[in-house]
Amino acid sequence: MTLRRLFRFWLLVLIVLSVAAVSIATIRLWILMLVGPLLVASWYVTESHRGFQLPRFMVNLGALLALAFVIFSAFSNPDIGRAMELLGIFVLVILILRQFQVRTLREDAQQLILSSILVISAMIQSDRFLFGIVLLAWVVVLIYVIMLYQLFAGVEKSRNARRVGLVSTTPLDSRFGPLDAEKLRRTALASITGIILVSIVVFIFFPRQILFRSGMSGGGISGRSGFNETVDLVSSTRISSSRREVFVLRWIDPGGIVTRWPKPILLRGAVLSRYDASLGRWMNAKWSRSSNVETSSDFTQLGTTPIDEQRQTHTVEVQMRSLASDVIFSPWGTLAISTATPRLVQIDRSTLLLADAGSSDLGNYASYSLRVQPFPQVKTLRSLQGESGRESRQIGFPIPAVRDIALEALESMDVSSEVQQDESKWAYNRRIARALAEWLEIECAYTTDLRDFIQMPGEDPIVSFLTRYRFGHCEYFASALTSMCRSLGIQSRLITGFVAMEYDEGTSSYVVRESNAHAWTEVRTGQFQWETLDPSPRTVLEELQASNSSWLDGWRWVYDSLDFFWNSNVIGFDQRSQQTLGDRFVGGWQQNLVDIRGEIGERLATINRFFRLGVAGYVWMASILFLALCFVVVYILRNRKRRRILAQIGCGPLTTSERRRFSSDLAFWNDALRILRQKGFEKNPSESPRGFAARVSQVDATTGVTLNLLVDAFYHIRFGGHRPDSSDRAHAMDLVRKIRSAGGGGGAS
Amino acid sequence: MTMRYHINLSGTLFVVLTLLVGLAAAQRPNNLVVWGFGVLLAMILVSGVVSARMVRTLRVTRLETRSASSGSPLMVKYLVENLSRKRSVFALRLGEVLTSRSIKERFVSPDSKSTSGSYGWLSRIGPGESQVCDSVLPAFRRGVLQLERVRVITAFPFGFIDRRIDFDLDQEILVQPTTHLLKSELIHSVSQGELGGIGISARPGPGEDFFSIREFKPGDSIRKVFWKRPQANDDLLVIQRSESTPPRIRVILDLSEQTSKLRFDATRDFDARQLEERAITMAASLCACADKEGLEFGLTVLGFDDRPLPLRRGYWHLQRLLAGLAVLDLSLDRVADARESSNTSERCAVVVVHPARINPDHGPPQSWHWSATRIEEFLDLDATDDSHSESPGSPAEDPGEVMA
Repeated sequence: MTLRRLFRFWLLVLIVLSVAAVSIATIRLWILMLVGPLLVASWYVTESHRGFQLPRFMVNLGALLALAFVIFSAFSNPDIGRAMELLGIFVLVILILRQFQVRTLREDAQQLILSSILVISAMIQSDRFLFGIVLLAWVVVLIYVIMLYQLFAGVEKSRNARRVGLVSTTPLDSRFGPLDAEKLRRTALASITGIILVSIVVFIFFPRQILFRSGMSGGGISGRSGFNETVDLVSSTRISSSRREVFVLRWIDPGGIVTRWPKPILLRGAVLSRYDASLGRWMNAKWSRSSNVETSSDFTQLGTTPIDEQRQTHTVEVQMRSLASDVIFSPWGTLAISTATPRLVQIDRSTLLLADAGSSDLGNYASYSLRVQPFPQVKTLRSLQGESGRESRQIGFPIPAVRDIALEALESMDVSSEVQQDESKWAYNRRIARALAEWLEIECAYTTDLRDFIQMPGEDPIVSFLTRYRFGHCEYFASALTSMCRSLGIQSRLITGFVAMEYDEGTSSYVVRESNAHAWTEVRTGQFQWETLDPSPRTVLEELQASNSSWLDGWRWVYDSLDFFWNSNVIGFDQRSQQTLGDRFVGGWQQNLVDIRGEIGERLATINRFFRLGVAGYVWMASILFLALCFVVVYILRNRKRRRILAQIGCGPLTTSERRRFSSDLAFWNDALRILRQKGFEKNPSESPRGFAARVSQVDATTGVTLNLLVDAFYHIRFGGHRPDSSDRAHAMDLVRKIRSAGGGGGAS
Repeated sequence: MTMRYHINLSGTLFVVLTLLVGLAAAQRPNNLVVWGFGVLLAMILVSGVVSARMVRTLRVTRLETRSASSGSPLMVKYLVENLSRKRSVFALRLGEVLTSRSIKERFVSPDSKSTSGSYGWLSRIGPGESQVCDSVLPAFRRGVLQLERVRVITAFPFGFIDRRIDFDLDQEILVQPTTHLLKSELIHSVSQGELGGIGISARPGPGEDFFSIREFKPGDSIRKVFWKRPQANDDLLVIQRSESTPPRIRVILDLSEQTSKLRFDATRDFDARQLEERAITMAASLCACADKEGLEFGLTVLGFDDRPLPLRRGYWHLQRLLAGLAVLDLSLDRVADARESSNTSERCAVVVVHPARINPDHGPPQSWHWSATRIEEFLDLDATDDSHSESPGSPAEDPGEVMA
């Protein structure tokens, strides 16, 4: 393959990888399915022997049309998210068109830049594990392609410089053979290794903030799990339909039996109590009354009073699959928590949200267990919330139209909006909220397709949902219920998190996927009590869940476990992780050494126990280790000797079999040269063996004669295709011994 | 040997991009962007380290370059050795660093595109290997071109940093005057004139004319035996013929007038010095054509102390003659008495080349007088277009002067 074809081939690979990266980042496989074959076809169309290229004017016309489309689309629907998408489409079109045109060096460089733009834009959008793999591959190929470009561009420029000169000159000699390509690959590999290592060092030491601090940073894991810490009803029309497993959950009843709970399990992640009508957005408040709890493998109580074991206390075990976060998703009123390794857990007493505040381990938590009571007592809740639970706020809703709609809804349900006789405030709240939730479930349709949900200027999206469209997804349902309750003076809040409803009978566990990200409402029904109300129609949710399932779901855990590692250790690497890493390597390296030694000992003991060999097992293992060590040493020595022999015989590009043969058959030559070097006869690299023998003969005739015989044997094997048998080898070694035993020496090199 | 680095435009843009990505990484908690920043930073670092290590192990030798002709490509060859035992070097550009004197004296073209000529290129040199490459330097003026330094540049691996290493290698190259092909009938008519034509030399040879008689030697042709007059002792005699000589031509380059005293049409777009250069070019072209036609030729330069070059023929004689023309220093004062130098008793055709107006006193009677202002009329344009470049500063048309 010529340098030009080699460069073009790897440039094509680079472009395909960038398209794959965009496809993964935007979760649109059709991009790869459509553009990928086009790009591959471009190789056969343009680079074949009778290559066909698009004329330049057609490419320019295509680019202009694409630009016109992008500008028209941008002005018809001005949205910053859409603008990025349009830019991506434009870049893709230009990339494809350029692949089919006659390309000069400039166009090749532009292809490189366009590919980089695509990947950088994708990098901002995605941090999935698969994207990370593609990104790494892209970087590796990019480095190689840039190196190839340097060579290719250098040759082309030199050639052109000779053409444009005022005088005609000889053509440029620009050979680039397979050996050159191999050496370039090696250099590229070394450079790539160096770059990756340095980039890891930069990655580790780059100053960062603490990521994903729940209730403080306002998120950071949004878009990666489907879970949102804010709900934007104006601009966010996205709802995740991804089947990626976020975590798995097991519900264990008080008897210790893993079972399925009769209702979907709602796991809270964020409490949104503030609505900004100007933005159409629900936001969470900062944690005002939080406290820290150190956890261990045993359950640690979150409340102040002991758990009343007489009431039914269930256990929830959560095993993270892909999501690495500090948000601890938990049902309402969690009583106790345990983690596999000691960690610091933060609890917000006013909302009973839980968050991981770190530990001495690197990365995020991988699993935790919770103790919950489905119907907790007031005293239990009081012990969890403290006196902050008593706080009551009179909360209205800033959109007056919502109150009218709520009253109409109650009227249509034949529910009185007035407080009944002998009805307590909390009972009123419960009655009204349940009626409104039922009304929503009946009157509004659940759908994730919001293409027809067009935001009307000056109209609040909740009002649009309740009056104009009456369809939407869980965020609209929960927003509507919360706002209607508030408009009637009922304290309520919007909750986001996950709903566990897909039960795997085989593993007796719930599988929670990205598409299970959910929003619902909590209505205050007591001093310390909040009732969970989910106005989204459960049947529709279950149908959607079932319709999305595929045969791949059973294998997702393999990828998801890698994804969790990626998210926990790479994407979630923050200031806290830096400190932990620093403590490990700087402060406690001695302790770490002891730990590593202990761990190795423990593993050896485990292996020994497995084979049941007792003390003899350790002897066996020591013998195996010793043999392995010997093997490694012998291998290194043999390899070094082989390289030395090949260097001595001046081998150029040889096949692997030739290398092996010569390194074995010509070992005597290396020995002879070593002995002669000790005697003061140094062979110059540029000197032929015969010339060297002649020089030796001038100083020491006896050695010269013997060496000449060895040179004969050398030439027979090296250039005559002779395969020495055992007698030849013995004869050669005799001659070598003869040189060693001969006196003299001290020849000039 | 000095090593320097220079961040080129793409390198500057890359550094700016790296800073922007670094800024984005600091502002936005996205670890992939942080890693991307690390990769960009590492690429700059690796680029610097790899290119520095590559050029450090290089050794460059300029191979002997004999001479060149102005207006023709001067090909300079280099031997490049990679002294490293393990590492290959890639993407090397080699070229001459022209001294300010060379540029000032217009040894190279004022056109920036062709000032540096084309550089040599090597894709790869393996460890311990050496390769030869060439660069082309367009020399546009005759004289001694001083080469001082060879520069090796590599932007490998990523093209951000131009790593340069200069090798101080002094060398002088003689740039001969440009030679053009003259019209063949012109040289024919000159050589076949009254004093030109085929002559008889004072040496025996394969000619037609009688030279002498000598004794027969074994190997002599029987046809050469002089049967009419045997010797007294009956020994055979043979007839010896004389060697015929080719037509001969002496070129007299009339530079006896000081440059400032030359008389010519001032409305033309060339100056006196350019006229003298054209005269030198004309003389050189005439000699080259004479050599091509198989004539004997010699050169006399009026106005300088140089001895006239005798009438000879052959490649080396032409080279000696062109070398003499190459080193003519027109800034020197001219020798006053040109008449005596131009008088020659040789039997040959004489062409006197004048830079401007013709002075019939310079040169023997019946000699040809050519003016350098009319050089275009003597050129074989068909051949010139194909194989020779135009002389720089040539006027498009010229009214010419008197031709005797």
